[in-house]
Amino acid sequence: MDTAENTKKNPWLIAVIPLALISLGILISQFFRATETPVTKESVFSIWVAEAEIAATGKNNDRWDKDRSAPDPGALVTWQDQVVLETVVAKDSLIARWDPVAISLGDVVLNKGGISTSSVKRIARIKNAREGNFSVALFDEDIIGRDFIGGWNIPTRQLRPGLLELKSGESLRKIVLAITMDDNLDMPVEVFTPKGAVYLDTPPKVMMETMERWAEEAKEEIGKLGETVGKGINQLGKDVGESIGKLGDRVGKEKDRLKKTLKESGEKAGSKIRESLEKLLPDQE
Amino acid sequence: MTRPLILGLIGISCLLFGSAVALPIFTLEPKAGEWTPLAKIISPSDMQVKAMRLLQGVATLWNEGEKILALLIALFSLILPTLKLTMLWVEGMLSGGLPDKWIRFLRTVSRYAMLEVFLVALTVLLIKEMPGGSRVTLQAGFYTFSASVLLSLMSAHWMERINRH
Repeated sequence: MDTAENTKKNPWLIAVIPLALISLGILISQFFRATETPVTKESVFSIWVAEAEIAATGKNNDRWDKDRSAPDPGALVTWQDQVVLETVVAKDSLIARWDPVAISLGDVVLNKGGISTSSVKRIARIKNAREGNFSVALFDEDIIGRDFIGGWNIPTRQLRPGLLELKSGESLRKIVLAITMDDNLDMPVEVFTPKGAVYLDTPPKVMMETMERWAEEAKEEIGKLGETVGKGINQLGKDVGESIGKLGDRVGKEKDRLKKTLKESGEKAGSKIRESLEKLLPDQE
Repeated sequence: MTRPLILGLIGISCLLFGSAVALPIFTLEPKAGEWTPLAKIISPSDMQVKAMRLLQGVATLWNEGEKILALLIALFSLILPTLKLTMLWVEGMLSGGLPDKWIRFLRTVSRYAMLEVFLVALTVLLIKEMPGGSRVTLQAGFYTFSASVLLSLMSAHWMERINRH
């Protein structure tokens, strides 16, 4: 190549090639990055309910709580007809959030560094499967059990790391599930909506059974409360009766003592008067 | 060494450099001594292994308000190496037809080519022994970056020899 030939070449156009190669290098590295944690048939996903948004009123525009407070939602995740996650109840929340870890200050103080990570994780582990679904539902806790708010039935094949978000115009407006792999509890960033998810107006069978269990537990609690109140009232009545009886006895005793004192005082006064008269009038004897 | 071979080496160097800016340079594994399991429970995100990437690092520094540092790192680890590789390629394609002022610029830029590798190595050396058993490990990005710098240095050297002959 001589100088005359070179002058025909545009250096700016030539400069595009290395820039394109650098861009290609970036693309290749992105491909390797994407396949860092491949999703396979054996992949196990860690799932927790990150957020749920509930409509201000339930079905038929009924308020959630009689005292006009927001519902107390708790979530349930079921897979293969088993409850695999039951969250704690978030008090008075229309927008509730849960953490994948639940630990109390007492645990930290009492178990200096000796807490097992598995014992404090509040996550469901679901295996990636071609067939089958898992369900997630929200319940409003009240004194006589828990009312169903709404839920979703989601195909397991749609699982992948990220924030699984589902929205509806029903009572359960929005639910966000955090999905990670290898028990990683970092909140994912990428949001996705799964295909084939179905909104649940009524809870599935296994959830119905759990609801029945909750109702039984609530009934037992109410029964225990009733027993305690009854015992309390009985005890109170007994105590009041005993006290009145004791008071009566005491009044009687005081009355007798008073009578005796009056009698003794009368007698003493009589004898004193007599003695005085005898001293004054000794000759009259 | 023939010119097409040198161009091929520059091409590989470009690919490696592109990978290096996106791949992790090193990873930092935080530890808190005997409290590590507890720290993982209380603050899992802080105890997660962190991968440091050039592009991501520059963006993070910029977003956190460390704009001068972000610009410096971007200049020495992204802009100058890109300019150097581009000019080497143009020089190779034009068979020594690059103007003198650009050749001088290329030589000046080449002096700073190893700076990034040196800085990373120094950083790793400094934070290798961190309290609580935290560990720093060099990753693919460091090696591809080093390979890219070495290939570009060799290409520049051979290119100069060819041009002299």
